[in-house]
Amino acid sequence: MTTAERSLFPVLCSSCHTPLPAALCNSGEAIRCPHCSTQLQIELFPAILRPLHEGGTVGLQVAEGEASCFYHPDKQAVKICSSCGRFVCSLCEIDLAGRCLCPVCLEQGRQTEQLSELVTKRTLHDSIALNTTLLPILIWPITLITAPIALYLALTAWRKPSSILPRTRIRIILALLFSVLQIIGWAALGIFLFQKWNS
Amino acid sequence: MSSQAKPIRYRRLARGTMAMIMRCSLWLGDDHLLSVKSTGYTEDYVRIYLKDLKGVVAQRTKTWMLLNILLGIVVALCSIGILKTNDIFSPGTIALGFICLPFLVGLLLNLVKGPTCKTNLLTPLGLVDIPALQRSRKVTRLIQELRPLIATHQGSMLRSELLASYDNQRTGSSTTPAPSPIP
Repeated sequence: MTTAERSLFPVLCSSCHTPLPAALCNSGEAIRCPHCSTQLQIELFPAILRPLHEGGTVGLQVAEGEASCFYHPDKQAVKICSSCGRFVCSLCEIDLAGRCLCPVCLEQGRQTEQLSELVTKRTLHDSIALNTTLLPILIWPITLITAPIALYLALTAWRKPSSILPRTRIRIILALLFSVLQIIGWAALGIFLFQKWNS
Repeated sequence: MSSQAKPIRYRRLARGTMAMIMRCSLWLGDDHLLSVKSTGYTEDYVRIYLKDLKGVVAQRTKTWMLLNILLGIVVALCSIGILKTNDIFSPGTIALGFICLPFLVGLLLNLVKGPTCKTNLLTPLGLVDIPALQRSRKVTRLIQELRPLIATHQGSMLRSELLASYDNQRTGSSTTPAPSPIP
């Protein structure tokens, strides 16, 4: 075994960074570091033994009568992209949540945020709309300006992608409801003041 | 993208707070763990795939003990104040009781939740901090929950076999290769 094949991440004590002996791991309870006595709980899984550079193989050369990779015509196709249906070799196949994708589809999915597995950040437009509706009530005169803004935000938030976690649309519904109520309130006040002014 | 991926079903494993304002949580998907940091307006996601998860490392912190001492002192002072008065139903005593109550609830909650810790997941790219796992009890529960899932994704190994192989690999002697994931 070469040095490169060894795991580059021996388990170190989080406090003194001393490599910990394996006997202390997977005990199911807290153990103490032999050097600094920090209490640690360590559980190792079989992947710790896997070498770091384990990756895809380069792919076999295509023989006559065999299907070839769309991106590497000299390589033998091993799978079909589940998105575009192109034949891909072992170098091009990307396994994502049980689906096989080619690099182009993966990039397209990342750019259009259609692949939720690749999303690393989301803006919660529904929370922004709800807080734009509710927080200005503390200084209520500014709701004259914020209510239409909140209504616009709530309407646009309906179609925008939200959290990838389980989440209902209750915030958008409440934002719509309260912003409409605020607009109605201001309209009623305006009509009342206008009538009073005329009389 | 012609074919739509089916939505991933997540189940929350733990949640906590970070720097008093940021909320963080840990979710379990079909084949990965999802660590979420939320400001309330944005969410940041970190995925750790079960087939790549090398281990869990939790380091006990002193927060639990310090909180117990601080809250205990406040509760003890309030209790002494209440007990020293002659009239237990006087407005001052009742006010002191109301002041003491949140601290007492905090102390009891802290005691029930158990020791605090800082948790990291070992991945091929290094350590990933999981701020949602701030209590040792939650870490133990997570490990118990992960064991069968890890066995499915990485293959099962006996504890002695795994640790012997790991020790051999660490010291540089010959080793048995890790079992390939079960398809």
